Amino acid sequence: MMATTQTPPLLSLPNEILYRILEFAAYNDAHKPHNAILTLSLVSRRLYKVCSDENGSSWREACLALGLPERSRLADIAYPGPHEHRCWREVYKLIWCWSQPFAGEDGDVKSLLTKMVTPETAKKTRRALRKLPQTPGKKLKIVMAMDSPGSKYEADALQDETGEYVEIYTRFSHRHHRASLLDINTAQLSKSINYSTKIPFSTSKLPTNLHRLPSTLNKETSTQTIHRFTLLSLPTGTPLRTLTLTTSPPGRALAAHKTRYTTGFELPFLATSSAIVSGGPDGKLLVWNYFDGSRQGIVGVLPDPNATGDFARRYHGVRVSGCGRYVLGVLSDRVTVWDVVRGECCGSWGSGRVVGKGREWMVDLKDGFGEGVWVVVREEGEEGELEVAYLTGEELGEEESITERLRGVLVEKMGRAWGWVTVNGLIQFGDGVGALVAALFAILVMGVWYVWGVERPVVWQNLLI
Amino acid sequence: MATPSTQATVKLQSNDNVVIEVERAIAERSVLIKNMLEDCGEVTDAIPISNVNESILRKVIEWCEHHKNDPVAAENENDDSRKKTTDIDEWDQKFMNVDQEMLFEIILAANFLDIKPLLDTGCKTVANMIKGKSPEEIRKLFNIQNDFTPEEEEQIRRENEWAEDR
Repeated sequence: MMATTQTPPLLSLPNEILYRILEFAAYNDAHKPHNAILTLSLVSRRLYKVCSDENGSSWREACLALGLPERSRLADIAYPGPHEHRCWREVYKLIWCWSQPFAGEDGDVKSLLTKMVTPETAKKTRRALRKLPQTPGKKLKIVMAMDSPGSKYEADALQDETGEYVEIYTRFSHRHHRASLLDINTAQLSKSINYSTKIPFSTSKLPTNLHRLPSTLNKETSTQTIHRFTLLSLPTGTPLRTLTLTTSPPGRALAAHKTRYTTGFELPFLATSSAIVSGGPDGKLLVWNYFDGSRQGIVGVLPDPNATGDFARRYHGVRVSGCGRYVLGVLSDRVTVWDVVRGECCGSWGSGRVVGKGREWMVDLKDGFGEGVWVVVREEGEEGELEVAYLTGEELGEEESITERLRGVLVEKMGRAWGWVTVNGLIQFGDGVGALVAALFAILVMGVWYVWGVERPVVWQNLLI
Repeated sequence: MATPSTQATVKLQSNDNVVIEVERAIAERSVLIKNMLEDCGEVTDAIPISNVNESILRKVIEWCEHHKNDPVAAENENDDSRKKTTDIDEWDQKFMNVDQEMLFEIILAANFLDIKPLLDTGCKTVANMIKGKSPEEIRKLFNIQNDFTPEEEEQIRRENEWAEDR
């Protein structure tokens, strides 16, 4: 039965059996499930390959050993980016690193709080808390959010005076904020409060990159809105860089321009990139470099191709596609997509109906869909079936059947991550010629969209509820 | 599907042409054989087990006899629960106390015959053998050649740095 007499019996086993052995090996060391896997990866090339397999179940089992809910799917918790970047090993690394104390923290603090909790008020949102140092009133640099693809979740934590509880501020929509009180000793939800108005809080998002954690801070004053985007070192927990994003131009009254700015909480970023996008004056979107210390500040401007005079409208939603190539800006009844690699506007589409503030757009759908920005639409006369339409991509107008119920258009394959070429392109894009080209392109695309839209009227459908 | 049979025993033929007669209930610990019998009804000829030799087949039958009264896991049962522990009961530990070649042959036979509890026992045994050992010790234990170049080994160590000193 052995493959050859020369091959060691262990290496003669098929991969599925080696995976099973690795799963058990991972469970053998509940405190460090990765030990066995990493050790085996150093034994031979064959075992290294098995241990490094992105889809290998051994890392998933290791995640389960750390407390990940058994029913979790990779698509539900991993960064919703390119498939190439989704793997259980990365999820494991993230959970593991978050469970470790930051450098300098008291190692004797009572049991690490590395427990997945599912608040009653947000059953679809999973989150993990790392160890909370017993420093009453101190703003913590913590909180890992793991959410469903595309769903909105931002959180921050504060410890109360007794040091017994941590207050988790979460934001589920543009309008509603929720503060959840968690007992740090039991990780159980103690209290949940809804806030109908914005309160100052900091937000953090979940990157897949384990070495840096961008976090946005917001403070609204009587004269201007200040957004701070802080980059934290995950291994040490110390701020690496703080980028101050002041969206109010100096000397201009906030009241007159406030509605032109995208909310400061909409600062999408890619952990694998170095850029974030925020709203800006005159209906523009601003691209900021948050990582390269030598080039802090605005590195590009995405103009509104539909801007008319002084009535630039406010983007109430901004998204960056998982591949980093597309930026989506959402107006009340229109979405505009930019290809930031090419430095051009892909198009601007109107639904023909008002798109409410709560409407959301998918930047990357589940496995099987291409990279890009997607929106779910409901076509008339289709018995209410949900269908997927594309908003970006090279294959404009082409459709591809994905499943029986879903139909979509595959957008261009993975684009390059943002880099200096992109940044340079964006800078160039900001000049007059670039804007003119983009506007002409947008008009052309709008025409195509108009014809398409007349033939098949659609109603935007929020997929994320 | 054929009519359910009341056949008491079945014959299994190893790949070295040895026929072993076993109780049907015991043979049906193998999902492969169980499904085959359900599909074919009464089988008078020996069922060829082409991937398993006599000594391994007898070991597998021995295990099945000992575990014939164990509850059979439901088909759709989430198998996560059985992975939570690598504990092996005493009888199984003795059963698996064989040389490595036979251990892996049993694992492969269990995989082929679709006897998940036996497969798990075998995999747990190997996992327990690995436990706490260094890469070099594992190589020595399983007679594996280190086929990494020093550069590759260094690269893997760098990849694994995130887990060091934690």
